[in-house]
Amino acid sequence: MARTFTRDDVLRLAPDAGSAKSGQDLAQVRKWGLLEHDDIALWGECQGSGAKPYRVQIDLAEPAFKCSCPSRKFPCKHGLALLLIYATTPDAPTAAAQPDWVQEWLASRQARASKAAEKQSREPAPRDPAAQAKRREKRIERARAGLADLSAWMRDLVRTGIGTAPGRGFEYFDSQARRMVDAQAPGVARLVRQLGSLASAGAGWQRPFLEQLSLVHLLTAAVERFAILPEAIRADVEGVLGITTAADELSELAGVADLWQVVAQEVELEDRLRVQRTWLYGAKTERVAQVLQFAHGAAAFDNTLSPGTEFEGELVFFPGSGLRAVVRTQQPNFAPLAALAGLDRFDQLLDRYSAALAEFPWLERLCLPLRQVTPARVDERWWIVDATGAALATALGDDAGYLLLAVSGGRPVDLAAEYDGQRLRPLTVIVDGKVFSLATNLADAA
Amino acid sequence: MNSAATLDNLVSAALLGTRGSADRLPALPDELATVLSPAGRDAETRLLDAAAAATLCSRAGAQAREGIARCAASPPDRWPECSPRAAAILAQAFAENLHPVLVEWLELAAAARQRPPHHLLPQLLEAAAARRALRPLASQVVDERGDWLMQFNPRWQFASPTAEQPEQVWQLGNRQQRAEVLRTLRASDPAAARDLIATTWKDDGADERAEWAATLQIALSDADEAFLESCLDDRSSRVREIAADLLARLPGSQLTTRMIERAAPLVAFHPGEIGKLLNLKRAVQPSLEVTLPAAYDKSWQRDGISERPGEKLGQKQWWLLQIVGGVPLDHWTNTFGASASTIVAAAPSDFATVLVRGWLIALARRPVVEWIEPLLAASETKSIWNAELLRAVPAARRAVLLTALLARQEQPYGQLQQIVAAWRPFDVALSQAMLKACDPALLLLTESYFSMHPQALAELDARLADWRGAPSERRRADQALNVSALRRDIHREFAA
Repeated sequence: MARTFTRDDVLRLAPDAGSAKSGQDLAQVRKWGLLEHDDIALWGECQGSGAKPYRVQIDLAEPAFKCSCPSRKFPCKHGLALLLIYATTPDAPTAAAQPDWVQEWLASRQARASKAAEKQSREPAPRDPAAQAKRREKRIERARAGLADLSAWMRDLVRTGIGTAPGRGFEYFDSQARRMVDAQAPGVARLVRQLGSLASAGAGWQRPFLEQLSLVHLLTAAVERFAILPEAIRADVEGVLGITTAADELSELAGVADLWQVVAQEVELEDRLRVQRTWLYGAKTERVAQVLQFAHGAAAFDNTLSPGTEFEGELVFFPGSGLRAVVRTQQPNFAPLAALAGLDRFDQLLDRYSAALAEFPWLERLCLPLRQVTPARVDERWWIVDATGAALATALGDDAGYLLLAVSGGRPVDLAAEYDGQRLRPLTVIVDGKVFSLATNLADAA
Repeated sequence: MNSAATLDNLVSAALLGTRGSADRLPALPDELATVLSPAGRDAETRLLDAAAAATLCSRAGAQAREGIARCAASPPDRWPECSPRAAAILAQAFAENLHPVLVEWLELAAAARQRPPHHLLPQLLEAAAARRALRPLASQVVDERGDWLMQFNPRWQFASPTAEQPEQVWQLGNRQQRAEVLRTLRASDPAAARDLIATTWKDDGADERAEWAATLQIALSDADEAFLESCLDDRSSRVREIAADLLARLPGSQLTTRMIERAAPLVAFHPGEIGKLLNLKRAVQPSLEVTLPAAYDKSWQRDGISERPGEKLGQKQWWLLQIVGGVPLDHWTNTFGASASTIVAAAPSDFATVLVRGWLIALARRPVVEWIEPLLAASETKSIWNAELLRAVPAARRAVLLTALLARQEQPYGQLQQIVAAWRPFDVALSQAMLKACDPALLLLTESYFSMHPQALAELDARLADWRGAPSERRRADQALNVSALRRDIHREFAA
């Protein structure tokens, strides 16, 4: 049985809003000269501006796209359109045997995949742990110098009073952020830029600003004492600084096998970089994992992880107590979520969050699946109420709030929501096996 | 002291700055004070240390709230959900703002007794809130879940009867709310609506009085005459104009009688004679004899006849135009004992324009089927055909009329577009007449692809597919083909 897609699944793959729009325009059966599929692939021919129609093909497993058009968008509008047709009118493409050009492409993909697997299974290049440790030490050294300056800058701000912050303009923060990039601590640069946004957020800016400032301060203090920190906390600090762990280092770490449920996904713009954050939850280990992908401009994300699906497989967590992980192995069969694992009461959520925060004070958000909770609108605000009657305020906007209310009908639903110590941010709602995204997506926003 | 309060104290201190008040840091709870080591550090560091600890404590220690009430759940829907393809088309109609497709979708869904999926309800209710014409259909199709959802958004509460009494809203509401209540009440209980207007008439401003008076056009009847007659003496000229216009729509009103009296000496009809060969008598065409009014009568002012022309037209012709516009068309056919087409053809060439314009005003006030075609044929292209008038054309005559209009080759496409929109949806005969009479460019410009009968869409597609137009027209053709495909799909999805 071939994998199925919904219209939203497909639109989520669009590299930008323009591609999503053109893809929808092209998703008309009559614009396609050829529309065929089998269990593995989907292919078609679409008349473009040239004499020869474009040949479009999709490997349904991933999905992976190939098109003969010259577009540098990926996937291009033809690929999106073809998959959209398949998603909304599955009967339109006729079942057929793969033509040569599809066979060739799939074979070349297969060859590449086995080559990569072979490379991975071969003995990894001999690592030199001593040299690596030395490189790390050097980076920490550079970061330490940069963060000492940052600390002086922050203390100066507190001495004169943070009340002056909103009037200083964004450049005041941005120049400091650039210095952090120079000090090879991009993670800190992001936190400092956020300080600038918080300062200009208007009424009630003061407390969130001081909270963020104090946590950056905590980071500078940690870097100062780096040498005497326990190994696990060192790894956490490195992670927050933005010192990434090399792939070969990850490959030496033990994986965590589980039935991983993909519970939520969102795409955000961070400093001209698109960041896709996917949240997973282990049905057996009850571990939360966050898989990040970064893309510049119109480049595409790998689209294997789709909310509302689950797979047996192994994740590798980055060193330390953070949530970030990568997928090491996955069974090829993604299935729709059979039954969402997760928490039933908010006191469990608050306990999980406190425990995670105790291990990792720079935790910005924790996404957990919540079973059988009910949305409510009281005093013009959106709340989520659990089975015991405990309620948490949400950060929902009206569009997402009414959508959640409409699909719930006032009855309990399954939800995946981020929690930040103050408010819930529902990202996914599942009703009767149907998955709806409540996250703001870049493709929708533009 | 809890961590949130501690944090608030620290925020106050940080806002002012530690300079000069280094030793006046807010007191910390003992649990926090013991984990921090203040010795030897500067005040800034101590404040930030304390803030970090308080931040983490407050985040880790947050509690859920009790006492947020869950609302009563929605009752089960009566109708089954539409097919996934139908749902996808509805989503596309919203995303691309294809209003006519949305209307058609709702009509077909209501007829098939199917509802949209729940996740599209907010968009549907939003669309209905923005467009009054969608509301009756939308309220039917949203089903129980939609009715339930409306209570949470004040903008969506158009369908459920207002919980408050109309009188209350009328006395206390803003102008928009009052207009809404008045329109709703007028449709269900015209007399009560008129009484409601009277309760605040003295205190309402001129703009409001004009709006309320105009509302009487809904369900207008002879019962409104006394009130409208009193409006002819209103302080505001706008109110007087509206009242005169509405009274002229009532064939039995005193104003109409006065207009007929005024018109009697101005227009006379001479029936023609059929030639008799043996008596050597020649045939005489029927003719109208027009006598312009000699002078402006002061009593005309009250009935909405203005003295000075609002345009470049002789003053006496201007008076004639207004008087003819106030006479119901039936009056001419009955008094002259001739058909509408005979009378229109009988207009003398020097007064034809003024008479036709006057008759068009009368026609707009009270559509009389017999007059529509002769007047449409005789009118200049500039004249305004409102949707109401166009819809009064019987379906069986539309194809003939449209063909005649198109044959004149002078219709600006905007007016054709208006006709095509007013006659939506087309029956098969009208669709075929349109396809026969129009080239692809005109089919596109009039947006006829929204109106065509579904059975005619295949031919429309064939015409557009083979057509080679300019690139901008190709884009329009593409849009037309998309709409055509969507429309055929919804008809298919809701069939059976």
